[in-house]
Amino acid sequence: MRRIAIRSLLFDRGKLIASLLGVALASTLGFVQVGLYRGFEQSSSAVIDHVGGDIWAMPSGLEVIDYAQIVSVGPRNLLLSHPCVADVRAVVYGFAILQLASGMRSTALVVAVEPRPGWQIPWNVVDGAPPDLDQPLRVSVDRTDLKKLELPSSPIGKTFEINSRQVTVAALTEGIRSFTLSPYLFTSMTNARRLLGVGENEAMYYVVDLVDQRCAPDLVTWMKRQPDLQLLAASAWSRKTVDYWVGGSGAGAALLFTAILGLFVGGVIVGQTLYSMTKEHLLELATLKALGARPWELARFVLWLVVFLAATGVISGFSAALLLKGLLLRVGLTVVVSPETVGLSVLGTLAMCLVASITSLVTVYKVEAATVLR
Amino acid sequence: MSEPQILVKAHGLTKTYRMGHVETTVLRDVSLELRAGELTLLMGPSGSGKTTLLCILSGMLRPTRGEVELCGVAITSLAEKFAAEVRRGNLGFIFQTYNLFPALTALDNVAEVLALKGMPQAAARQVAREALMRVGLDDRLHHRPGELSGGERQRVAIARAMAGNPALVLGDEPTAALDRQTGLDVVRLLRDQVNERRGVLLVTHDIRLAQFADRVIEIDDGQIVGDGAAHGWAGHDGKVLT
Repeated sequence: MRRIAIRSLLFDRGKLIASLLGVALASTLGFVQVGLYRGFEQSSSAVIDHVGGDIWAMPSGLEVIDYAQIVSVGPRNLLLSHPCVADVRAVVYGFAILQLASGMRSTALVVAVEPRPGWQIPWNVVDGAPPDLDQPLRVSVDRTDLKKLELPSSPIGKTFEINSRQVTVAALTEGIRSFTLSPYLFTSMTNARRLLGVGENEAMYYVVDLVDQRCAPDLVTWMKRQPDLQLLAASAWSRKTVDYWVGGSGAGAALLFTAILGLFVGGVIVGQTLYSMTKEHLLELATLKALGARPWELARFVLWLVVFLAATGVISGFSAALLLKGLLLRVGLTVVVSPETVGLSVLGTLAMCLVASITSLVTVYKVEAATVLR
Repeated sequence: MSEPQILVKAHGLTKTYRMGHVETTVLRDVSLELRAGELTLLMGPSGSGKTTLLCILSGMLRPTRGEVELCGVAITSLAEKFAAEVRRGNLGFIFQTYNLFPALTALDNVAEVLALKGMPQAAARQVAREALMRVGLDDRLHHRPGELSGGERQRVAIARAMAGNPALVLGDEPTAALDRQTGLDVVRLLRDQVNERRGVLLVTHDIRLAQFADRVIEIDDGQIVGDGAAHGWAGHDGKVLT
């Protein structure tokens, strides 16, 4: 039945092209929307995910990492006094006013994390070196923000102004973007405190590394004596930040809507093609039934069409998505292509084709052998 | 000499269709037997019940009353899936419109049916090739139906019907779409397929085909009005075949 189905589809070029376009369109949209969604998720929680740790301590009521507030030195000592705590790292994080050479004013996010062996912040450094950031008023910039910062493609040593202080670019990173599109400027703790006007022992977050994950509840209870502080597992904090930006901003819903719309349009085109092909070959299929074919054997005619369309649609959709990924990066949008996003898109396309085939499957299943003699 | 094998035994077949409050009886108490070694013509005017009888004899339609035994199996009492099994093993079909897959070559049209009946692909292709050669299509194996004449398409359909070596071949107006000579050639070919283990039943309007038949059954208004040897059979126009 595979040969009959695929040969029939290849034989009818018009329907083949129409259906392939439909599946490819839906599949491309699926890949891009899922990839963009993951890109938004990654950019909104990138700092949390890369700084890591087991628990983040922060002012109570905080919903998102970007709205950071200063925490005094007290909680740090309290955290360190608990036997379950292996290490506490301070994070300085905050918006700063960016003053560019052209006179444009914008915002940037200044970030600094106390170093820990084996952990490099910032990550994805492609030029310069993170230790250089310890020099006075040195920052890193990301390649995707160079245009926004009015910097050349080799920005090391170039300067610009933030919070009325001139900073020098000492490192260049690749692909570190914030959800708010404000450029991330990574620097040392000393530089960050200086640029953001934060006191010497103050920080916005404390990242706690535990001796044993199981004592996390005990630590939370222990810290209740500091009511203006909330403790969240790093994963929960990351999720909360993602939910705030991707969910709360409506970006996630917009992406989901576009993906569903793509699947719907693709589904209609595929459904139309499958139904039309099934109707066209109904007499031949009824002939096979008259010759003794079982209904499920005839259903394989439709299912092979589905498999062929889904497979070719996924391949062409994936190719188009890879092409679009490069183009979208130029306008500042990150499309994440990972086994997870590819798997989701493939499943979405397959599900779309299967749903689109229901009418055809029912038609084939119900075809009466006697129709060949009427 | 032993008695020819009975392929179909039908008894008391009645078929009534109900549309709303209106009942239409298209077959009335029809009984017949079809034997191996016979080419039988089922003749009658349009609406006489020929096609309905063919559907019931092949197990594709249930009679309102009556029984059909197809190759020893009481097919009328079987569920559709079991009736399909009986058809799969014992019947071949030929249609007026050929019903070939337009995208498949002649070889594939025959081989795919054999594969559907459970034959391995390689064997199916070999058997299909031989079947097509037997109907004189050696040089048309890789042609699609659109590249064949009407007669050649019907030959492909005959090869498809015969390839599974069925006991009974049913034909529904197999020559209606063909010109006179091609139609006669096709029936001559079908005549050649009849042997001591196989019979052929053709529904037709074409009295000329009787010259190739062993037996003619005439049906009118749902009843058998004539059943006898083709040689010397006097049809509704009174023409006697000699």
